[in-house]
Parts: sequence; C-alpha cells; structure tokens
Amino acid sequence: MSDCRNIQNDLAAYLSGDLSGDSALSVKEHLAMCPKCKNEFENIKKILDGADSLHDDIRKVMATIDWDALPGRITQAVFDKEKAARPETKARTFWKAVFQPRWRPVYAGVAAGLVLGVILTLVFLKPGALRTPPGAKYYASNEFIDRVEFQMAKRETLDYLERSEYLILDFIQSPPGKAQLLQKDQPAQKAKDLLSKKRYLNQQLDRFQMAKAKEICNQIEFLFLELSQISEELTADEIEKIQKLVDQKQLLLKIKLLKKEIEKSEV
Amino acid sequence: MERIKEHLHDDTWSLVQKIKQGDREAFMTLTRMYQKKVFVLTYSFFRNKEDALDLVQETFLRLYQKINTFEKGGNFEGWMLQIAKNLCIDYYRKNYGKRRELESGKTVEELNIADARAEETHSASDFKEILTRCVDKLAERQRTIFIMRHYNQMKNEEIAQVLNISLGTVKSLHFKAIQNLRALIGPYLGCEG
Repeated sequence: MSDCRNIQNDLAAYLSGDLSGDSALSVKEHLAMCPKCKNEFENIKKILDGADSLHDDIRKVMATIDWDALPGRITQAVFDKEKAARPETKARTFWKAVFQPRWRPVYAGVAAGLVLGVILTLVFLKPGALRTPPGAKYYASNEFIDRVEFQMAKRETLDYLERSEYLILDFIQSPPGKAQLLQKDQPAQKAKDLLSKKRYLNQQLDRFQMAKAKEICNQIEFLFLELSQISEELTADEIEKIQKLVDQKQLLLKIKLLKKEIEKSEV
Repeated sequence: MERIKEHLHDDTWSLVQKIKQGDREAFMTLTRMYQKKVFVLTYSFFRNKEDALDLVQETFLRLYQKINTFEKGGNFEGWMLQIAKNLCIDYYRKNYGKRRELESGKTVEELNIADARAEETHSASDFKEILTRCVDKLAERQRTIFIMRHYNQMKNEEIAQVLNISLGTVKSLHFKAIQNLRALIGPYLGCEG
C-alpha cells in the first residue's frame, strides 16, 4: 500500500521525464501489475496531455499573427514612447551640463555678488533700512524715530530759550552795580554754556527747518557772545549798552512768543 | 548545438550593444528574434490574443528602457522572459482573477459537477476549458511554473533561471501544481480527487 503511495507521488515526475533510470524502471514495473496505480497514471497523463495540447492551441493562434509586421509596429511604438519622454531627458541633460562641477566656483561668485549687490542697494537706496541697532530687542520705524527726534529737538530748544530768558532777566533786572557783582561768578560762565549748547542746537534747527527759532536763537547767541566776554573791568556804561540791546531787539518778548509757538508746534 | 547557442549569444550581445547606442534597426532585429518566445509566455497567461500582444509590446518597451542594466555574459533570454513574466503577473493581478468566472457565469466547481453528470458527452475542448480554468485556480508560483513547463515547453533548468529559484524548487512546485490540478479535475475524470 505504501508502495502505491510512493509510486503515485512519482507519477508526475515519471510522466515529465524527470525520474532517473532506476526510479523510472521501478514505476514502470509497478504500473504493469497494479491496476489502481495504472488508473491514476492515466488520469495524470490526461491532465498533462491536456496541458500540452494547449500548446497546440497557442500554435494555432500564432498562425493568425503577422510576425513580419509585428517587430516594425513594436519598434515604432517603443521609439515613439521614448521620443515623447525625451524632452524631459534633454532638459535633464542641459541642467547637468550647466551645473558641471567646474562651473560651480563661477556660479558661487555670481551668487555672492548678487547677494552683496542687494544688501548695498538696500543700504544706499533706503537710508535707515538697516538702522536697527544690533542686539536691539525692539523695532521702530523710521517715521517714528524722526518724530521722536523732532520732539527732542523742540524740548532742547525750549530748554535753551528758557535758560536764556532767565539769564537775560537776571542781567537786565539787576542794578548796574549788582550786575557787575553777579557777573563775576555766573553770567559769563552761563553764557558760555549756552553758547556751546547753541552749537548743538544749530544742527537740530537746521534739520527740522525751524527757521524762525533759528533766527531768534542767533540773536540770543549774539547777546551771549557779548556776555561771555564780560570781564571784571566791565564798566557801568557797557552793561547799560547790553541792556539797551536787549530792549531794542525785544529779545525777551521774542523768546516768549517763540516758546509759545514751539509748544504749539507752529515753528 | 553548443556552438550554435554560442553564436546566437554573440549575435544577441552585439545587438544589445547597438541598442544601447539607440540603434533602431538592431532593436527591430532583436524583436524579430524573440517575439514568438515572449508571445507564447504572455498568451499562456491570458489565452487572449489582444492582451498577449499588448504584453509583448510592453515587454520590449521595458527591455529597451532597461537595456543598459544588461551586461555581457548574462542570459539574455532568461532576463527577457523574467521581464515578461513580471509584467504578466502584474497585469493578471490587475485585470484577471475573478474575470474568468464572470465571463461564463459559472465557477470551476459548478463546471466540474455539470461535466461529471454528462461525462459521456464531454468533448476535448470542454476538458481544455476546465483544465485552463483549474490552472487559473493554482497558487501564483505553481501556475507560473506549470504554464512555463507545459504551455511554453521550457525545461526545468530554464524555468529555474528565469524565476531565479533552485531546480529543486521548480520540481517541487511543479509536482504540487499537478497534485492540485488532479484534485480539482477529479470529478470530471470520474474519480475522487
């Protein structure tokens, strides 16, 4: 019985010609004396013959095909498809040629030049574009900074006018003798301080086009120039001359008016 | 015989070299040489002339695209049939499967029962139809080997090379394919599976 099972397992190989001489002989001898295995042999043979007969069907179908024309059609189709895909390939080849390693230093130089050009353009064509101080934790627009600087200039001018007013008042309201006394320690020094402040103020006045303020400040400056040259030997006549100058120019009145105008931002 | 094979091998290699340079005529010559071999394989899978011809064209297109990967000394026929086989399996998975059963409206089992009842009237074409439907039911590797062995009439060694498996595996899978077919066709043969 187990002999039959072994033989039946070998039937496919036997029919396919895959068994060696001895094995094939033992299968052949067994089939001659075992009807059951012989029947199984016939069944498998029928399957394999059927499968092989399909090959004949393939041959019949193949007889209906024009094999001489087919290679031409296939070649045409293949090369057409390749041609359709070629523009992309060409483009790739072009970029490969463009980005050859030997050209890379040139491209790097061009790129660096472009970046530098953009930065310089920003710096020179748009003043203040890069004004933000390094490390600043906030950002202010140019307009905002201009506004703040203008306000500061106004305050500086007002401060200058106020201090000038007090100094002039101190001087002209003092009696000649006392004025001379005061001059020893204060007016000359104060005038010098205010003159140096005026030098700084000039820039601000020019920048913000405060023309009227500048004119009055110039008159005050002239006065302070006189004051700064006051010495101990100053005579009562000289002091009177300066007081007259203040009166003639109506400096105190002008200072008051100018202060009001600046406060109203009409300068 | 060996000398003829060697000569053919040299001819193929010189054609391959020309095709690598984009030679159209060489490609057409190569197609002419191998078109029937490829067709037998693709037709065996689908038993549909139009699908088989489409797959032949697809095989040669793929071959042209991959020609630069083929090197001297390689088995060109095996390489080409491997491309064809892979395309067939992909195409079969996408387009066949249930399709054959839907075409007739009957399952293989139903066909077997019907045929077993009218055993005397069976014709050879009925048997072929059942056999091909049963081959479709086989597992993928068994089916591929059975087709190559019996429809394409390839030797076990060639199949092993194309499928990149051992000779023993080919024999084993072929044996299993026959056993399974025997079980499926049993009722038609008038005996138990």
